[in-house]
Amino acid sequence: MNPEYEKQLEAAVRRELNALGELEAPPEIGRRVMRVIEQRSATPWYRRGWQAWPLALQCASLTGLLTAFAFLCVGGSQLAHFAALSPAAREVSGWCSLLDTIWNAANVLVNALALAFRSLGPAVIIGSAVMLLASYALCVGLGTVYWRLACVPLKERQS
Amino acid sequence: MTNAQQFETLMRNHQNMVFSTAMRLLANQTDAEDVTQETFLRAYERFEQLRGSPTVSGWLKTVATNLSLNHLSRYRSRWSFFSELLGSGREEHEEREMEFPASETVTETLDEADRRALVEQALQQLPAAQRVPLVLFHFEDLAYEEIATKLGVSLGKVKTDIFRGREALRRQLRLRLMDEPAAAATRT
Repeated sequence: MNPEYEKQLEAAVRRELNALGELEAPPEIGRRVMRVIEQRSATPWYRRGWQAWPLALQCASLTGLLTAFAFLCVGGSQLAHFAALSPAAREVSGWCSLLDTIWNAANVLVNALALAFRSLGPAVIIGSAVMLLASYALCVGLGTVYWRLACVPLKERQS
Repeated sequence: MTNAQQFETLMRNHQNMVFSTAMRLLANQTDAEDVTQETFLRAYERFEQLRGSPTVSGWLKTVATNLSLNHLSRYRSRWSFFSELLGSGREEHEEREMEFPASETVTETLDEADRRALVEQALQQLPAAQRVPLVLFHFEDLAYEEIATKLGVSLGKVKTDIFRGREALRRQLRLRLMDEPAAAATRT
């Protein structure tokens, strides 16, 4: 390709394209947009996606859900003590046993992490985190090299 | 003036620009209308920040461009677009001729409006792999490197596709270059 020819071609195409004005948008576009906006604002908040809820309601619902989960977990474990007293409590205790298990597992995990942090010391923890990040970066790098070498066609690399 | 009225004014002032951006990238009226609608719906969600901002036009253009590119890669011609970008089917598009009459001095003998319509038509009939980088270069004023990054293709491919797009337009519109005989001699 000749650079001078390319320059002239670019100038000629630019001249033509610059002469184009804006295209006329269909007149109903505005009405369409306003109709959708009206429909959306007429929809009550509880019918919208959680992301579209008012911020206060998002916070309140999240707090409520977390509290309910904690109560269920703690209540499930407490109920086990009364399971022997009544058949109904035994029944409910059975339902809650899974939540109790999750709660216990989460507790054990947090305790194990705290113990590891205390016994290994911050240097080892930070070192491990750095190694983990470096390994991740290495994987991404190798993946990129693989993509460049193996997946992008040779012809394209030469162009 | 209420919020809705202010927004309608903003929409009226910018709808042609947003629609043109989408239409030139997508080359499809229905898709361009959808992208225009989505762009303004997003603008409405941020209307408090956009109202009176001097960058509103740029913001709308960027959103319309990104939505159009997303639309191209996700929905409309997912497989054909990417196969064009990666090179397969290139020959098929090079061989394809556009289907509208063109005389030797096609753009000179038409009146202004017809000439513009013809250029728009020629642009829309380019294959997406040529049209999209060409539009990003000439209408969005993006550099080759920026286009390559945006489309996720190599710099060489962008340059080649833009050159091919310009060549196709030159052929179809019978554009005369300033130094035509010399240029023809050195073209290859």
